[in-house]
Amino acid sequence: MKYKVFLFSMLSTIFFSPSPPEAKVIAPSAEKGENKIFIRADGLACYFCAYGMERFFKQSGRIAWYDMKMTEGIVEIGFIRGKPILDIQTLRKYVYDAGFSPREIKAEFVGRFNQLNEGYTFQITETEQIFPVEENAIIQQAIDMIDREVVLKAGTKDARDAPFKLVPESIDPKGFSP
Amino acid sequence: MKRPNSFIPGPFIISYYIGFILLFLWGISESSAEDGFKLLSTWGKTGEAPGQFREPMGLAFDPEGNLYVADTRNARIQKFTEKGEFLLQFGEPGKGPGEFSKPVDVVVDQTGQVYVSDYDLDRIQIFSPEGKFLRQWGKSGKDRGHFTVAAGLGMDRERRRIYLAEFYNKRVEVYDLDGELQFQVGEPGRVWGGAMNYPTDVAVDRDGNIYVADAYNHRIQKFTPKGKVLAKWGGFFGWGIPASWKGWFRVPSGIGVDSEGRIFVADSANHRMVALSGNGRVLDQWDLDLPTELLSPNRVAVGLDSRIFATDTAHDRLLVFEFLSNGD
Repeated sequence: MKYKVFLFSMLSTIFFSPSPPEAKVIAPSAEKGENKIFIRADGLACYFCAYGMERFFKQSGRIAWYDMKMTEGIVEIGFIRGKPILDIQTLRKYVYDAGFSPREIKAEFVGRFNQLNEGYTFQITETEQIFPVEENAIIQQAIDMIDREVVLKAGTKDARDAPFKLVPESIDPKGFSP
Repeated sequence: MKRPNSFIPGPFIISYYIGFILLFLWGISESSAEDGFKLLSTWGKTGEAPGQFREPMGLAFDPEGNLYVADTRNARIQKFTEKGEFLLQFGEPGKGPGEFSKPVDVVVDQTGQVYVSDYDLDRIQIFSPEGKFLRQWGKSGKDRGHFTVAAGLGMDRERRRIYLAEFYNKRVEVYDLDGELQFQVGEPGRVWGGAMNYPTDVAVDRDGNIYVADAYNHRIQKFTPKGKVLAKWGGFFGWGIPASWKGWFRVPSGIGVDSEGRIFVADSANHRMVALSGNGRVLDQWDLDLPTELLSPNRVAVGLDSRIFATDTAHDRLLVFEFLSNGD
């Protein structure tokens, strides 16, 4: 009997390994027109770590809400509408100051593409903030969306001068302005 | 006629089979163990109403057996009877006296006064048993007598001391109940006894020995009442690698001690509760044993009736255990 219990527990461990708990949404659901940053950080394993980063970010006075998915090591930050997005150096500094290493930073911004001689830029709605955009296949979809409000999902790249450069991953043409 | 070679197993194969047999016997003994945690009930659910929680963290009993819970995301403290009946709550979001940004731990002294640490505001606020704000102390910083995130508190009622696990300063500081620094336990570091790396909680046994959840060294450390290292359990299995096996911890974030000197650990990143004897022997480890849900234990407190309470922070509830010893 004991052998069966042991065997069953071993097999259960192998075949029914639990999946990590889904982090509950602690922030209010994303409002229309919100600008969001997603940070994947190494070493983010507990509430104390996540609270540490939250503390640093909130000191900026630009954060509307903050969510964490600890098992995935991801922090999600919503910015107060109309306030400028933090530049990538500051984002990185906050993560390092909290004791962790930023692995990846992604963005979801609401705004408009502009086409300049040198390429594309993206201006955040209700701010004067403009980000340079790296040209890729996705950006070609934006040609007929110039001056229309869109939601841009993008990776980020360090730019020599802040703000950071956006690398488009998808564009939702359903903007929020009429 | 050639004689066939007889099979003589080499030392490697013998070791392999001995190891396998030992593993088998260990498995049998584990599955037949009769002492350990028994989950009695869970308290609370997600919400803002009395008795509900959003990210409950610290918890502590007063001398009468009432339970205080730091309801962190709701920025308040809730007080319950030992049966779980809601008594009162105090605090609201803010930075003023009696207000909280993120209360993460709570302890109660012999007179019933309640001490609450606030993660964001680097201060300890003291309240009456009725929840009235009395006073506060604490200075943000790295120097001695200052702290940057008092993540966990411990209380020694007999010696009238309060212990602060300083998350970012990586040490434990010991204060009297008026907020005067007495001495420091441990210092920042990774390997040696006394070295600390983001400690998150402190507990004290009836002899005054100090137990520290040294979270990012993945171990528990035991000190004398004067702060001298006695033992350390767990640690890194390999270079920078924590482990999940019995006797090892991954981000142990909460710790409590009962009247018999047994130590209860919220082994948070291993998603389990662990019970240790006073000399560090593993008595039991417990997880939810559900395929779809992992435990998220964060803090531990032991009631007057020896029930063990843990906050299951990700699920906004408390877990209530009893611990059965052989012969119970």
